[in-house]
Amino acid sequence: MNGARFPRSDAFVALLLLALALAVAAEAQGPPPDDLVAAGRRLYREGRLASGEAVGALVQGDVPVLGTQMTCQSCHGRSGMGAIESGRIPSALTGPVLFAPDAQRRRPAYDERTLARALREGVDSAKRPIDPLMPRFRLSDRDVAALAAYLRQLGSAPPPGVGPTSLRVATLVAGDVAGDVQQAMLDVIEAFVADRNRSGPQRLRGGHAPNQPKETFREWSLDVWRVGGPPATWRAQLDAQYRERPVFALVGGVASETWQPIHDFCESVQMPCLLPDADLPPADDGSFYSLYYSRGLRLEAEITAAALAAEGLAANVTAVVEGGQGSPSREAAAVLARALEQRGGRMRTLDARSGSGPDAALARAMRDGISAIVLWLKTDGVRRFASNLETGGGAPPLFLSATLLAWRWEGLPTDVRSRAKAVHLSSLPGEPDPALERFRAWARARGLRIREERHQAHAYFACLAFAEGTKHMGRFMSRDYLLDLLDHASSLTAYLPLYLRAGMTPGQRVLSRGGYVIDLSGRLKPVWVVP
Amino acid sequence: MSMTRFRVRVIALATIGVLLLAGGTAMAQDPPMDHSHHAAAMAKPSPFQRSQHEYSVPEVTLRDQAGRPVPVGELLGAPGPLAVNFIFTTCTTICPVMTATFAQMRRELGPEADRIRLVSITIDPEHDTPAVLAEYAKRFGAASDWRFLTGSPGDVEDVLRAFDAWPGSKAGHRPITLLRRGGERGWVRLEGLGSGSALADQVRTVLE
Repeated sequence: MNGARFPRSDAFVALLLLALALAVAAEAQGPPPDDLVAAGRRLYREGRLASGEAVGALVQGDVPVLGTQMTCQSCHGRSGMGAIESGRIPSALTGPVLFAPDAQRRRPAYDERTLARALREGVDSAKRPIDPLMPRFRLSDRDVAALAAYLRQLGSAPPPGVGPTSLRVATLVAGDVAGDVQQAMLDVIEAFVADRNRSGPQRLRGGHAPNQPKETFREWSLDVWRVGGPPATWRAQLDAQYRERPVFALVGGVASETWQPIHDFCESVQMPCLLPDADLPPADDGSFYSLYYSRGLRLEAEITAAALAAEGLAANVTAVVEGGQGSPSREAAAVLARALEQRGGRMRTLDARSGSGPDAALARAMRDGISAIVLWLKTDGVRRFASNLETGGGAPPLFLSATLLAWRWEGLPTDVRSRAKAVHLSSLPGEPDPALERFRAWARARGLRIREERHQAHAYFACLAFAEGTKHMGRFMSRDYLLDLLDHASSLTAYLPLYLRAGMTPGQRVLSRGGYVIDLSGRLKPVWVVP
Repeated sequence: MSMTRFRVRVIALATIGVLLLAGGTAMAQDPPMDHSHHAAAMAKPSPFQRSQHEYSVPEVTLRDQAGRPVPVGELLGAPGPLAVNFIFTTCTTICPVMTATFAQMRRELGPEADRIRLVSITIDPEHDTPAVLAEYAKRFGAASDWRFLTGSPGDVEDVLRAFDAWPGSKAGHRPITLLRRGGERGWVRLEGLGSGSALADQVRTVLE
């Protein structure tokens, strides 16, 4: 073989090698797709470029904004399905929607070039101007490629627990929950599911996704998950049940101890965990998938601290707690201690069941001068402990926990009630609560006996919120979309029993943020406090 | 049942959205980076619906982002031009734009910027505590003389109602800006969103 005979072939091989080398070099230079998706996710959710810098943009023609002030997510939702606010409808931009023609909006499928034009110049794929409320972003080709890679995979995989005609959910009983409470709660959820499945196919309306079928119906099936033993072992039990039979979401649920392991599980598998009956939700609120009625005992503790400080009683507080490490009583006391410290107060903690008996410790504390006693005990505990308490004019005021007392104080000794206050996180007995009336009527119509009203009302609204969210999702079942929809379902709160001043607000994961300080003697009017 | 109203609203909003989009096609678009001349801006139709009103401000005390008590009647009745808007910090769509537009309007005013006082009142006092508002103000680089106000839900509602700016719920929130010339009872009410220069043009009418 000689070179003169096959010059073309050699050149071809050389070109081929060069092309290969360039391709390899390009591959080495550019991040692999995973990194590209991650860069796109950061841009979408946080408005930051790969460098960490906030992306710059102009909105309304001439108003400079930073991507961190207006992220893609803030308007289009974490799901990319778009949320409705103040009469503006940011469009859906998940992969299957964005990169397909949209008959409703009369536009062809986006590609990377038209996406870049939309993002930079505000011109859609049909060459029409986009609402000036959509920022015009300063993005490099690489930034656009990252965003396109992220959007392409967004909403493209069906979530667990969802079939073409089925939707599987679970509720949960965690720890040592009284049998009556369990059954009362399950009765409500089962009745709701049966009711909803009987209602049959519903016409879908209001969806802003293209090619949406006119009708869809997924029959709900309900699993009841149970976890027991020490809370530290709950996570593994949850993982096992989820692996065995995945569900789309956890709806309601009740726990005797901290909700933390369940919260951690839901956040880690990115599964909605809607409105459990949790006395002790976790402290952090930077999470996305878990929605709570309130921060429970943590909120009670903060309001108690505010009330003690307001009455000048924060200086030397004694808290009496019960239960093991991590018990709701102890956890709440720890929150109270921190909140009092922040207000310049001081608190000591006594164990109601300590070996030497709390009497001696309390007597010692009394000699030091107690400004107030916080009895973070259940009804039995308060009754048992009441005999240790001084009575009469000079006795320090008492603060109790309405949650731990299960919202009943009729059975408490008169001497305790006459000088005790408590924090009450929900509507007061006798306060008009139309949503609670509506729940009662719903239960009556289904022959359900109301035995544990709070627990049952909690379970009812959790189901209602879930039903409402899934109804609006239509064909586009996505866990993120469910949470996005609930973010904007503020009108749902009209149907929320027990929490008269609650709201559903984007990004907020607790509905109610305050509580009443009530005087158990009935002498003083309840005061609403938001700590 | 329950949610029919919710659904009806969604449909209504969807309809409005379609109308907005349809209107959008006819809208002339400024090139994003082009700061057009103010004279030209004046000649263009304003994006705002402008009307004149008299409001009586209730005598309640709110708090600003530093937690300082603010007698609203005093603040809003003080001499000197004033611009007021209504926001909430968790609002995802129009509030960030309104807040950024306020800041841009001031930049557009140039040497006259210091003559206009800015006040933003939250419509979500239960969530927007002074600390939350301080964080929000910081996020938007608001100058320290720009007051962000909150207070007890009842007091805030009184103030919003007095200005016909009570949305009923957060979801019903609409873009409203109020302008007042120093020492006069009358207010200019602007509804809608516009560019920073368009808002600055409106503000100049109360600076004259």
